[in-house]
Amino acid sequence: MGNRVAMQNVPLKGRALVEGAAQASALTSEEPLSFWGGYDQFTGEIIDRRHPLSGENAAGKILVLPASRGSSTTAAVLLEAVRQDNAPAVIITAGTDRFLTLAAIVAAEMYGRSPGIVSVDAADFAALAGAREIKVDADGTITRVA
Amino acid sequence: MTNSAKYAYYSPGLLNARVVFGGLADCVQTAVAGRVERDDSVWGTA
Repeated sequence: MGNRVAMQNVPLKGRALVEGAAQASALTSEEPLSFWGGYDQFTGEIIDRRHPLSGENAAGKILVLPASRGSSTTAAVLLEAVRQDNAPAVIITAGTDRFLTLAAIVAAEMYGRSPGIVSVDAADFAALAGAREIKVDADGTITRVA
Repeated sequence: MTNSAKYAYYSPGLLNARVVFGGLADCVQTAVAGRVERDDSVWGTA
């Protein structure tokens, strides 16, 4: 327990696949999420009714997931969410998620804005479990604020 | 009603509706009848 508290304010070094700096409320889960069928592009609500984050709204927040799941249409839904300003501010994944990263790169090209995409290793991903507020710097540095 | 496991999984969030999973014959029968008609015997529950 002492170790967990001590870890909270130690910055983690993530890999910024797509740059994005934000400090915001965090939503964390160990369950992968399909954005197709699981993320409402019109509201930012997580609508996979079997997902632990079902009913939460991730728009403008720091979303921490191990990976996307299933449909490659995840990229299209995230892109549409960016267009409508309902995307998360930053998505942190355990390892590289190509669908989410692709969507962010294309969003930056098409709309001039995009969520940050940061990958971390398994140990750092575990250290973010249950975080309520996270700060992400453009270089991929992650600080668990609360 | 759908015979797609994937759609059965996601449709509660997409449609805000309850979903019934069945075979293709069940889907056609249900469409014709206008109400859920499902052969439960194939699931070993009838």
